[in-house]
Amino acid sequence: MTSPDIDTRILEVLVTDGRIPIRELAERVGQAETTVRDRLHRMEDEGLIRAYRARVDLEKVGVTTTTWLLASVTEAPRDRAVQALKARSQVLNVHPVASHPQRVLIHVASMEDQNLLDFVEDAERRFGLHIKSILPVARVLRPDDEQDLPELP
Amino acid sequence: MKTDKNRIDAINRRILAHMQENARDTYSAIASSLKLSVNTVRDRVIAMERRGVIQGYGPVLDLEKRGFTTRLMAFLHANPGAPECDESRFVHPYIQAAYLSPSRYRLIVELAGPDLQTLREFITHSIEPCGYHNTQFEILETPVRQEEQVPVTAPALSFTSGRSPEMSEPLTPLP
Repeated sequence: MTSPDIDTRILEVLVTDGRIPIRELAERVGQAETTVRDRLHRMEDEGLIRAYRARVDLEKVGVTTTTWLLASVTEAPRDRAVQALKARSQVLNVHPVASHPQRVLIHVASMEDQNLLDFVEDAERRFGLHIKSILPVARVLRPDDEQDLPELP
Repeated sequence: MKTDKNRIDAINRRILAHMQENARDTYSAIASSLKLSVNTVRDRVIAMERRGVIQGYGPVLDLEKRGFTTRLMAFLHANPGAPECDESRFVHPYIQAAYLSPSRYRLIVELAGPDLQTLREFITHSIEPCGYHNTQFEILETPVRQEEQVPVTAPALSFTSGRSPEMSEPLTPLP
């Protein structure tokens, strides 16, 4: 087995069980504990592994729905709007679209006292955010490990 | 009125916030960082796992460092009458996230991979056969980390002919 394969195996196990003890992880990938520990620390030091995150069921912490918005930022530099949107407590993630200088995809959480319409109206006022499509999420098949935890009620 | 069933208290909120970055920490490391007792942290984490508040743990990977320099969001139409895709199908290194939507795009999938061609083939061979067609997608810029951001200039494309590649039609008008 060449070395990248061991790293890949380690990551595959971690994706499904991020808190697995090193000893069990080593058993699962069929390597010595020291090998696995060293490789894990190297991947952390190199920044390939940026963090370890608990996947939270948003419905169980007071989020009623989440929605993907396809939108354009018309009255502010997109970079600045993206940063400001990411800082909003309701926003789970924001992706600038590569093919279009104004387009963004925004994943927004709705909670008891923070609804989607208020968010959209505020973003329209502040950045000239123009919504093209609203895609409500009915079920998460695979959670986004990069998304932020909203400010919980 | 909404019940308090889905509210979490301040201590659990702090534990969850800590576990957004350092979920591999031992209970005692979390406890000392949050100035709580080890028993409190252990009991609460286990209780949140049992209640399904915490669904699991995973690493947050730097996709570019992994060689996944192309990212896209795919929007798929469901074949009429096709059964729902099994969740296990969405555990794959290229799949970053997947959602079912009651909009006309039944499935929304965020992908990351080495290049566009690989991801297109992955969608055609591994996702569409599950009951989807006419996939459209937007190529995403790499995550906003200014110091290393490289603009991507590839155009948005559509997989199948006969549709505009632009995702410009509103799916649902604003209320």
